[in-house]
Amino acid sequence: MDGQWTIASAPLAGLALAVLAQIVVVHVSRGKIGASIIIGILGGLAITLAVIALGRAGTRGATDGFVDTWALGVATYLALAFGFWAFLNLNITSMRIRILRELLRAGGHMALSDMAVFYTPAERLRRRLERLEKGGQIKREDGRWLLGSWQVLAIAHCVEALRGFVLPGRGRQPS
Amino acid sequence: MRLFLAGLALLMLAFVVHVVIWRVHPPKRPIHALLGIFAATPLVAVPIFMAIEPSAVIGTSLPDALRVLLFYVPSSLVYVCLYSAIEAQSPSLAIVSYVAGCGSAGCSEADIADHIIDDEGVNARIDSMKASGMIVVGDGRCALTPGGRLWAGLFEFAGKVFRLPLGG
Repeated sequence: MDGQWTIASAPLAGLALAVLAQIVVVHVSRGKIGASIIIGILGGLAITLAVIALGRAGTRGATDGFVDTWALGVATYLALAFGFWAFLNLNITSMRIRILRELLRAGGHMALSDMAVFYTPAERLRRRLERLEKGGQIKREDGRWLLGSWQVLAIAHCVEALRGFVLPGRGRQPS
Repeated sequence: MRLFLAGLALLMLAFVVHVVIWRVHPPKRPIHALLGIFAATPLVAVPIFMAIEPSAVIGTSLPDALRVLLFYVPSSLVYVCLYSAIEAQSPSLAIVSYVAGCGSAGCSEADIADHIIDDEGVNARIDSMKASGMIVVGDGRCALTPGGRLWAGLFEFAGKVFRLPLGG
């Protein structure tokens, strides 16, 4: 029975390690966020697998198959890790969170005219292009933007396909 | 395989209910509706399954039930996160799609600015934050409410712990 509880808790242990590893790596590397997230998530996956193996060793006469033990544990961990990544990503990309943080730093209040300057459409586009370039998704050559890697493009295509299925009237949106 | 299939079956059932409702009568508050569907699905499906096949449910140990729950809840939340990108096109994904469509010739920043419409500007965001009680606006100034200050403090704390830059 102890082994079963160990297997059940493996994805949570993995998530805890992912969070801790991200914090340590981002501080040691002085702000390399992308690398810290990847290292954290891979470290968490390794811990998940290790704890599942530990649980299997402690479960005598286990009747669980490969899928229920390993695939369920890994899939659960990946879902939790996605949630962690989404939380970090939201903090980096959300304008609402930025407004809240800016207001707090300014003592809790700010003139609306000052805020409008920070968040002009040109400023938002510049930030997005900067982020995408930093992430390697797009690159600039001779002042022109080119595709840097196909991964985000594949995600964009998947999201569009899903949109077409879930919201049929709003399939492909003009870009 | 039993536990994994049970989790997958619950997710698929919730997804099918969601798609059917969205096609018949899309809800006015989609995220609330989606959370409701994913929360209600196991509460409805498990008792029905228990009535049909009692031994399968009663014979399930507590750790096994926890494993299915731990798989189902975060997977549901993953879909809810994805749904926000499905519902409103992400400007970043739109930029990547547009740049890819330009091929090897690429495109200028002005081309991108002309084609990518980010219609939810700062005013829309301020309005939504005002509506949710995070901020108050008056005399041309914007101020945090006590609730907004709490959230701002939490995000600022997370920003320091995880060393996250100011986004937006």
